[in-house]
Amino acid sequence: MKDIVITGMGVVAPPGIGKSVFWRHIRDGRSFISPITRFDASLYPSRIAGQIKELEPYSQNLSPRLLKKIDLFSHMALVASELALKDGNIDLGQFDLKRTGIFMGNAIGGWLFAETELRDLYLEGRDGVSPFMASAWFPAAPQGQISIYYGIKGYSKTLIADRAGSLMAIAYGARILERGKLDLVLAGGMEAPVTPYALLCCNTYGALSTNNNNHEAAYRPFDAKRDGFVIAEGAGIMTLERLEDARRRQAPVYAAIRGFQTNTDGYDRIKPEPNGTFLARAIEDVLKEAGFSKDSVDYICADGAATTDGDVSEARAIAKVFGKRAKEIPVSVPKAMFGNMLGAQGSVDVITTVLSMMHDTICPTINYENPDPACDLDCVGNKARHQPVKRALVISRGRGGINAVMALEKMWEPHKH
Amino acid sequence: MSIEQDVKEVIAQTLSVTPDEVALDATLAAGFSMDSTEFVDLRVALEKKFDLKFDANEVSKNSTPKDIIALVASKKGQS
Repeated sequence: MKDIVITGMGVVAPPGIGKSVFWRHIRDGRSFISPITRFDASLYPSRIAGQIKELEPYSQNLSPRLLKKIDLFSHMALVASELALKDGNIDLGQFDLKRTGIFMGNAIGGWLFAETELRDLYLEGRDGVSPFMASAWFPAAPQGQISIYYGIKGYSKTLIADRAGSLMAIAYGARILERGKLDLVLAGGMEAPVTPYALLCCNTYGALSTNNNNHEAAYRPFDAKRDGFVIAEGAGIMTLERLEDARRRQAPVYAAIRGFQTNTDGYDRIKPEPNGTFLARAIEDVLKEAGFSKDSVDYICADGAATTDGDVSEARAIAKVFGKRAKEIPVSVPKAMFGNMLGAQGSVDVITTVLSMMHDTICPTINYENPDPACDLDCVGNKARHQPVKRALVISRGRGGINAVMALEKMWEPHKH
Repeated sequence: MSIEQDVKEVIAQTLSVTPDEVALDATLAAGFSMDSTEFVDLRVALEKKFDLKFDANEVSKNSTPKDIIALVASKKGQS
């Protein structure tokens, strides 16, 4: 993929809203996982999450009339979009909105809104349901709300691929830019799984940590005492442009998307293929597309599901591709600090990786105390590592054996105004 | 509360504004920029508030709060 660059980043995450506060908190290696307080979750096996608690101060430009019609996942997407546009110094008035597109990913849709309306349907009948239900809950709702809010009218798409959705969405948007069909893309993802029904589905999936009493230590990727991941809510949205266009408007240029590959294990409904065979193939393919030699990759932001099957197969895939060098490439799972945002996680991992490039600092994998010998990697544990990152891979995986890998290259050119 | 106050209150809640901001002569579509989903929301809210049933065309884009007050009063037998 040639010269498609990230020019603005907006993040809504448990450690903070906006890239500066988010970075300040994640580089310290603190946990932002806490007991769920939105509803009584006491009977759920996993009842902890990364939660967004201060969205209102960032919502001053969103009217109460709009907010009553949309779900939290759209709300977070609107906040993250505004942050990304501001960060990229983008005045949409200077762009052709028919050549501006929106590419978003999420896994489950807007259940906070939908659940209460379904309850009312059964309790009160047809008239008990809000007429806004139809446009609030469905997975493409954030795309629609962003397009309406900004008047964006170009080629756009929402991708659903479990935890790989937003990484795919970014890649899709980048490819459409590459083909010249658009000039500006808003890409990323959003997820709001901290609701009674969504949490139930995540629990029955069987991959969540039940270490509720020690919630800050619950999410422990590549650690021998792991027992699953922890869910989180949030959004990560970025602006993408062709490098020449970004330079022409003297925009900040953070990183280039050099490649993206995805495939499927074809193995099991929940478990990944145990040897990481197809994830390895996706990594090989993306290195080839990006033109990255195996020696040149200096960071991998791993999926880090913190399940034995997930971690071991991911480590095997990395070992299969990089051989002896697998133990020398720093790998980390920064999301262990705040939880896995499911369909939004890939985009937040991209933002985290780009921030690592900017600050020459690799964010840590917290709770990495008992390295699993079956995952023989250079896992950056507990404390950030000061180290330049020029070329990196981001891995997202999903149920049904989805493998997705993106190659990023540092391109830091500050805003010139 | 009078019917007028109650109607203004319901419309205000639908639009997320204060009752004082509900002008009696403004049409729902042109005056308040209400869309089709908001008409449904308003109709259902009025039905719940006054324990009445409205036909879809009784609360429409050309209705004003004054029209709705008269409609409710009529249905309540108070016109």
